[in-house]
Amino acid sequence: MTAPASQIGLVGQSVKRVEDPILLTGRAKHIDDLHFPDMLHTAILRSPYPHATIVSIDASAALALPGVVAVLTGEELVNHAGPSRDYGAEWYALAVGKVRYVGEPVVAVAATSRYVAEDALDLIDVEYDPLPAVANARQAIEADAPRLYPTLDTNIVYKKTFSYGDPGRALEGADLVVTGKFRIPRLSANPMETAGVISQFDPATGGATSWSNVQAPAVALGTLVATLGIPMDRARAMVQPHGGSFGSKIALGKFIVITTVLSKLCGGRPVKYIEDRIEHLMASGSHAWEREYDVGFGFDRAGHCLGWRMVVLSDVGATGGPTQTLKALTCLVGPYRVRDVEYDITTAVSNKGGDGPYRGYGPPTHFLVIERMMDKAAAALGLDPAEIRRRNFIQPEQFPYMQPNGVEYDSGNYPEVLRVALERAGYEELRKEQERLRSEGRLAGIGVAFGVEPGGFRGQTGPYREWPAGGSLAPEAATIHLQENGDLVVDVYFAMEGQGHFTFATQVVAAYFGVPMERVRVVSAEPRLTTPSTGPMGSRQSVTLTFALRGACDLLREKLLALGAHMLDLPAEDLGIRDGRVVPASAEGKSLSLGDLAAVMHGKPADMPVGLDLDPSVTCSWTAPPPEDREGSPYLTYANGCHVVLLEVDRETGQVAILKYVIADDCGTRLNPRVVEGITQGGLAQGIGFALLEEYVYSEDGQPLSVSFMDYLLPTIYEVPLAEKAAVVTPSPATPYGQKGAGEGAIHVTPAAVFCAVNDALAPLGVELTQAPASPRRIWEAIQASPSSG
Amino acid sequence: MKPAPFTYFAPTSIEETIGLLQRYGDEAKILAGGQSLVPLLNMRLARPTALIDINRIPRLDEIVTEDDAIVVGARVTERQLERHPVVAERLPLLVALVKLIGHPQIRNRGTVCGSIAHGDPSAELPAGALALDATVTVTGPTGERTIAVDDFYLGYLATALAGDEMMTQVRFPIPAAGTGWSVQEVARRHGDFALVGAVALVRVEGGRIAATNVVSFGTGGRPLRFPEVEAKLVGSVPGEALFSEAAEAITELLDPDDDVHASAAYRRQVAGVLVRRALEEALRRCEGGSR
Repeated sequence: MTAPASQIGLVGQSVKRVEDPILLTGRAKHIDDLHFPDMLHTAILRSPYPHATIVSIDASAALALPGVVAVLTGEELVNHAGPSRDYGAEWYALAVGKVRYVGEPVVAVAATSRYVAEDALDLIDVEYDPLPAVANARQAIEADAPRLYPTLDTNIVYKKTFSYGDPGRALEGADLVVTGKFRIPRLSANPMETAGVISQFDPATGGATSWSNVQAPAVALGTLVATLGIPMDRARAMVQPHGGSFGSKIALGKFIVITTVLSKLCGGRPVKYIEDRIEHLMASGSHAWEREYDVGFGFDRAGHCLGWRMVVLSDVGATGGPTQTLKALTCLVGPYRVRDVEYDITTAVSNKGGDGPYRGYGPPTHFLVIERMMDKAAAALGLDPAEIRRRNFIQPEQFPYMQPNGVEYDSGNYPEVLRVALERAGYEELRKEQERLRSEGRLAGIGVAFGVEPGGFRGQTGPYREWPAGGSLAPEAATIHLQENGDLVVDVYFAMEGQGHFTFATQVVAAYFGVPMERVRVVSAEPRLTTPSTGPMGSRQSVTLTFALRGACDLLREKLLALGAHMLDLPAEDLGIRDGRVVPASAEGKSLSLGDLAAVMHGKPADMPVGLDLDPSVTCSWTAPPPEDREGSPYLTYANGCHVVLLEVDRETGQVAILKYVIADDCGTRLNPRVVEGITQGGLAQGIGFALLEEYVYSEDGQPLSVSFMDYLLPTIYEVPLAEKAAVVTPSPATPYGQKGAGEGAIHVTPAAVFCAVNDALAPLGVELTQAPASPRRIWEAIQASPSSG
Repeated sequence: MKPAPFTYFAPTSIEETIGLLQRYGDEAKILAGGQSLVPLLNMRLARPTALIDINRIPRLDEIVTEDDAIVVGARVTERQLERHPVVAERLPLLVALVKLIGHPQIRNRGTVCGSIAHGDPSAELPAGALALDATVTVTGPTGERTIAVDDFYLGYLATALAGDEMMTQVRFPIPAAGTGWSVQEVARRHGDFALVGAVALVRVEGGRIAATNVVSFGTGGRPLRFPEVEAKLVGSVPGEALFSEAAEAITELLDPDDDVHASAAYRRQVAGVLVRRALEEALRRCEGGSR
């Protein structure tokens, strides 16, 4: 498993990102940069009602508008496409019969420009018969609540109690039981670039091609084949570089369906659709994490956590399932050695925008709750928040650690990560500073929060076994081509997204063959059903792509050594690869450069040995071996991190000012430390958004109120502290370099850290904040409720 | 997010502009920096028949510094004002106000007169103009007229500008020497419109307040002045208790709205806090005011 020292070289170095020149200078060909002859543009008429029957649609005036080529309704769409599904709920890309949320696509228009297409929307007359709306999960689970789906006799799409050990006994026998109720808002990724698709149906073959900025090409190909019925050999899904995704571009299958059917109706003309910002905010299908928690945690007098019970009610809007709530099962106990735990989840649909993936995929809320409960227990027991965590950590010698539900953590050293974070933060001094500020009547708070990060997503195993993801999300593939000049071209089967995948892929391949990075070029290749591959998600690529790359390197190496043996007249086992050359193990005598070997492979028949496979391209499609742990963790690695924050709350206005932010994290070996630092800072930014700013607000009758960036507030550079960052390195035994998935670590912990700090600031007033985001209004209202205010 | 069809005009004189306004009336919109208008167009919340781009009209991009005033033409951007050395020296309140508007990219485009003409009740420049007793000059078919900002704002996004008039300049009087100033606001993020805000000017003579202007914004359909409260402050010895009393009096006069970011109750109470803080800071900046 572990890579030999000779292949490490550049791996672990902070080399410059190969993505930057193309992305930062705007040279990448994003989806909206593509223009095809005869291309049409789509605009989508969306539902103004949260819940209504569609009585009639009259699009004749729109069709008559010059420039309009086709109008597509749900009724027509079902003749060409099947539904999407998520745990029982089933819906079409355009509403059929009724609408279930404001912003649901109802009619799509293809026209010669987006302007004309939007003009046409004004001319479509849809008659609705409004139905009572289900505004939230609480209403949804009432026995007499209106039903969203006729195929379900309930709005509850998933309900299950996961119980391990004996949580009831643990809580009964506890010296201290702390309880809490929390409300988490719905929020989502908001990449700079929204979703975009161009689709072209081929009337001659019945095939279809879609170009898109989909995050997971496997999902796009799955949509073409499974939803649209395009024959597998004629379905093509090309990927363009992204302006960010963070999960939100996994869910763009509906746009592939709409544009492909429109293309079919337009005789095979290419049809483009670019989601606009309002559409993204209102109806991306990737709203996430709206949940209510009702929890009880038991402790002994010394602060050891004995067990807990969490009851979670999640509102997944009109189109969503429980998967993001289920992910907590993969990091159920956080960093703590707690054996008796219960996790009870109810997932309900409501008449709001659909739930879908957002960076972190659920655990950020889980850790917010756990960490806040740790603080509450510490306060009740008179312990320092850092100390209570120290007393409950899984210890370094306990790894690999089997959680009570049979999901294994590979490695870690939590006490050390905490120690480093506290040391970097100057924790004792911070507490003194806090005392000083408090003595001046100021509300200063410190948060110390910890989280673990499931990484290296390996597919639908464990808690995801029943997940109808619309494609297999396990394999990852890489192809290496040895060019005629000896340079290496590496195909990966997903788009450049900006996280640094192309950079570390270059590092891994260059290091393996001992060539400079300039001789390796990583490109996005067309994802193909014949080369099973998934794309980035679940902090997986630093693990899964690396395995695929090394698998391909091994295949090429074998060929090079076989050919080298023939040309040097030495046994292959006496040869090795060093500094871009095939050399005898003795390091004496003749050697061959990659170029020498490539020249033969590319066409010098006279030098070719008989019977050897000399194809200069090799592909490895890698899938993790079946899980050995009982439950089957969907994640191969568990990074972890500790955040320490000092902030001040303005007691008169409720504003929060962050004064200091420190992160120590352990994602094992860093393939490129600077890339990890950037990813950490980005996750921190999104975590700050969660903790302080972002929230999709709906009115009580289901109307979205946060449909522009005036009302859905993303953090800007002024709101996000540049964190001081420290690295602890506990190599993973599960990966070639000891690396762990690191894409989501910071957003896992930031909301918890800030939330704990705000509550620490409010503690002297005897009030508590239980709802995110910690907006000035909410904090002010909490302060007003203080017995000592007023 | 594409605007409905409109006809685009790019007149090169004020007269030509007025002619177009007369022709299209309420169906026309003037485009200067477009920072409020273009999003409204793209969201189809505004659907003018005619868009009149005044960016080719000469001389409207000038800032004129007079002895007792700063006069800002209709095309002057917020960034121009922010970076003007004389403005910074003689009317630093304007620079402070402008720095609270959006980000440099927005201020590079957004115009001072545009913000004042649009009249968002949470915007900084209308509040500052009101505090400074600014006047706007508007031109119409019958010629020019000058309107005090206090008379210019009629209600929520409603102004005294007639359909066939355009604002050509705003005149900010420079307060008497020694006047202290302050702008305070609570916004969810740096650069956002204020949830609630306050502007104060204070001048002290012989240990007593000689003059003061107090404005609250984000708390009604337009920025608000409080003549009775100002009158009570004048002649008093400045101090914490006096300012708290004034802030409380103002709180009593407010009837703000709820929205997704803040409740009416929040706005009311925090408005008082910010008035108090603005008065305190203005006093500190006063010549002879620091204690």
